[in-house]
Amino acid sequence: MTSFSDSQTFDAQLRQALASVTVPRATRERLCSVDYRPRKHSVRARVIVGLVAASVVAAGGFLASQTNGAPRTVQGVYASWTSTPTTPAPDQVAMADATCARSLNGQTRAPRGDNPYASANGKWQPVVNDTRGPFTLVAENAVTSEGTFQGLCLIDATNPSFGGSLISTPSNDVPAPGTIGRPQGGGGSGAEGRNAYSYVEGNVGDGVTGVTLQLANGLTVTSTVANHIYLAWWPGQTVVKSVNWTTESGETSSFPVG
Amino acid sequence: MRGRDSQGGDDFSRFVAECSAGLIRAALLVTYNLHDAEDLVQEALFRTAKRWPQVRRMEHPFAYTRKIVVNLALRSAGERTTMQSALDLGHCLDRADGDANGWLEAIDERDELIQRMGSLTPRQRAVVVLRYLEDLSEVEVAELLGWPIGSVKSTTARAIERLRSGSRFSEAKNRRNAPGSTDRNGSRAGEEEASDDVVL
Repeated sequence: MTSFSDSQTFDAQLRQALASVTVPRATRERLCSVDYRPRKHSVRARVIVGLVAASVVAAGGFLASQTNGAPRTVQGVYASWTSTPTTPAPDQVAMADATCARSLNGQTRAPRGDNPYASANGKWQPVVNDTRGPFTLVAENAVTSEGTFQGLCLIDATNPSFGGSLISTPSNDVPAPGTIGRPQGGGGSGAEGRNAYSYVEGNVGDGVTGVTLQLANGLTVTSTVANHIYLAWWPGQTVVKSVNWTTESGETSSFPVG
Repeated sequence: MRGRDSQGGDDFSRFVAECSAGLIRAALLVTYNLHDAEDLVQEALFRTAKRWPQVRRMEHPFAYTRKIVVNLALRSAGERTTMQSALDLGHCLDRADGDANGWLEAIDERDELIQRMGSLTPRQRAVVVLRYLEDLSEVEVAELLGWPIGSVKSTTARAIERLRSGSRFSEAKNRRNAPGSTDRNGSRAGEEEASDDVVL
């Protein structure tokens, strides 16, 4: 057991200790990659609750998953992720929806200080669920007298614990029939910053039946499309390179991102 | 994707690049949860972006966002249980700057202090961070948190007392009082207890 020398006063040691806490580079990079600009045509605010189950971090190793015919390496906790949405297990979506609603209510419950989302408390309803293995990305809306709020949660069926929140104000414009809106995205770090994931969400017009994302690493991710929304997530911090969509008439279109 | 518009988007991008690490560190030390810290800093940056045309003209834009971060962190951390906040920050401790003899000992002491920080209440951590990391005066801390200055003094004193308690720090405690400690500020134990009940 050591003790301070005369010259090492406690407050100096405390200052050094506090200054020694560093921020992971990936965390800084994620924060710098976010588009913080307010949306000019925003008609609703969105509460996004990022989440990754906390205690499954230790699930180690690498597994190869099949993605569009090409093997892709997915690490650790996301090893069971798939590039195409999977059929949820019984009650998986219901559990995810309920867990997400609980989290969103927790985020909107606080009455103290500046809580612009208090009116959304208790009003969350699921809109879209994007399930990949045990993980379900849930989008829920809360319609209030102050507008419609939207929350996103990534729920792990094997460990429905999570935390954290962020706020954005994306456009809610519904695109013209047969077209889609540009993706709004973000990401989370997972427990202790070790399990980064990314997601995008966007609006689709009538007649759009499918949306796929071409990531910068070559991976193609198929989105879930429902209720005029497309939604998808993937492990890591790879950005979207282009978005492709298909209409019910069979027509395909795309646009670059970035 | 980052800001580049008529309202100073380039400035804001620079602001984010320059300030995000400091903001996260402050948030992390209050919440003791890296994920929460990242998310609430992001939220604070969104709020700052909304008012950026005004904020960019401030003398200290960082202070504006830091105030949002700390208050969001207090709100977030206040909703967590003690067990949830007991996070291992070992991966966030910088071990690269040790030098000369005894650097291992110094690192050991730093780690112990950081661990002890985790045993403080979020409000205690907040005042410690603002006083000792951000080098704010008691008046500035009181203004930032919206507390009476007496609450800042007593909360700081109680936090320092708890950090210094125990074998490793008891010797130093007897040698010198840290800023905001009980003797220096004239606060008493009863006042410190009451300070934890300050409503933000």
